[in-house]
Amino acid sequence: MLYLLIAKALVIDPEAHFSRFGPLPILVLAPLSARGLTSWLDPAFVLYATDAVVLAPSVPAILTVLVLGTLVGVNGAMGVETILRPPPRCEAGTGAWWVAGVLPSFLASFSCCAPTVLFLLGAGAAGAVISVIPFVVPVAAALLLGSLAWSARRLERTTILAV
Amino acid sequence: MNEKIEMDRGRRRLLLASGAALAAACAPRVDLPPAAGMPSGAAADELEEISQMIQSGGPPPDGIPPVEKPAYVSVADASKQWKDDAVVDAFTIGGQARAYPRFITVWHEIVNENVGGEPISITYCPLTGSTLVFSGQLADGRTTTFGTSGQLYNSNLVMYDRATKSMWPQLLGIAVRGDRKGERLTEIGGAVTTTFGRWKAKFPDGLVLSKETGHARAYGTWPYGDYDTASGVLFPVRHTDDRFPQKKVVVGVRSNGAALAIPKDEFKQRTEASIEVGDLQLVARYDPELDAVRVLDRKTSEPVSAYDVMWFAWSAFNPKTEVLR
Repeated sequence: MLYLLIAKALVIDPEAHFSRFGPLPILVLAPLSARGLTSWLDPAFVLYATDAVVLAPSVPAILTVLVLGTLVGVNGAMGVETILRPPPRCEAGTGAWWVAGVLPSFLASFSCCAPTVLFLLGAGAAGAVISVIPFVVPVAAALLLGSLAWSARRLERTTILAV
Repeated sequence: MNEKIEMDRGRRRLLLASGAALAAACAPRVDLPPAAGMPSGAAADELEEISQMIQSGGPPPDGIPPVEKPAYVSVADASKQWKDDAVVDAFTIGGQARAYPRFITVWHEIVNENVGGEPISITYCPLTGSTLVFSGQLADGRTTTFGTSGQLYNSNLVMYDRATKSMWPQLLGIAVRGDRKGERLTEIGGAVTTTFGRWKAKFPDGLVLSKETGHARAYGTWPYGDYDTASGVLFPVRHTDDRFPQKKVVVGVRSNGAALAIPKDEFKQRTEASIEVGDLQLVARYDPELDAVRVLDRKTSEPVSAYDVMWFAWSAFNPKTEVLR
């Protein structure tokens, strides 16, 4: 949601009065012809949802939201699981458990969101060119996947040591 | 007056350039002519220098897609869609008054029109706030439509013609790359920037560009945020001039290498002035109905090309411009 908002694929403007364009909601699909989408960065559809809200995401933006949203969610869940599980005896009370287990997930979430948000804010005024921004996301996705693998290994280790 | 490259945020340049490279890799293929390259040790001519200074604005060629087959709606229908304070560029084509809401043209930048077989292009650059109308007839008799190259010079839209792929900065109107290099496009005078409410009161039988453009865009929203009023520009400009704030709107008139800027707000008090620009004897008149400044040839009373433009862009393209006081 935040990503779409900052990428201007989601616009909230209380003074827009989109109902001027007709009874809401209004869905405008991009033409399906080969020349319909000038580039794949164009909006796949435009949805005037309310008088003040319009959604116009490109295909990369939709995929970005789905992929990153899922990865952030799974990382978060992994982090919670790590916290809830008792640390192995060899690491209990040392603080290493928290650092090695929880921090990666925590940082990974930020590694995804923070640079993306900062990036988008930095180039926010660039208007039309904002649609190219989804290309930076693969880096964040890679970090999240790495974090996920790390957390999974930690949990696996915990399980083995606990047996 | 400083003659230096200005950059608001170097960081943006890097980010936009990287984005542009990625976007270009995925873009529909339009082979635009590359810069010719500077001859070593030789003094580069002005056009070559301009050509070298063209830079990517982010989108690929036609990544900001022109409207190719514009449709129009009546004033009555448009009044249901647009508020009276919506900014429009107004122009009379073949005796028919037409308005182009910027809430639409900001997403396309060029509207390729055809009037009685004669192509004309209504071009709008959001970064410089300038709307110019060009004939699609080239000097060799060929006709063409225009596309957006995705490139900028002095933060201004660089168009390309579909016939020869030559590249034309909008505010220059001269090809700086390609077969037509050095050739000047024919500017068509008479376009003004006003509001929809003022325009429809004056032209109740006019036509308004329809939202049915063949593209899905979030019409009614403004992708450039507060750019029009915020200080600073996004891309480098070649000359800066601190006589006015960068985004102040002036009406630019140019002829034979001479240029005159008419500060729009100040001119409202004056209403009319006789002016000379290059070899042209002109009269500038404030139109209170449209809240616009028109510039007419004093002998023929025909409108000449004069357009609203942000001061930073006008002075960047015309560093020796005079200002009407």
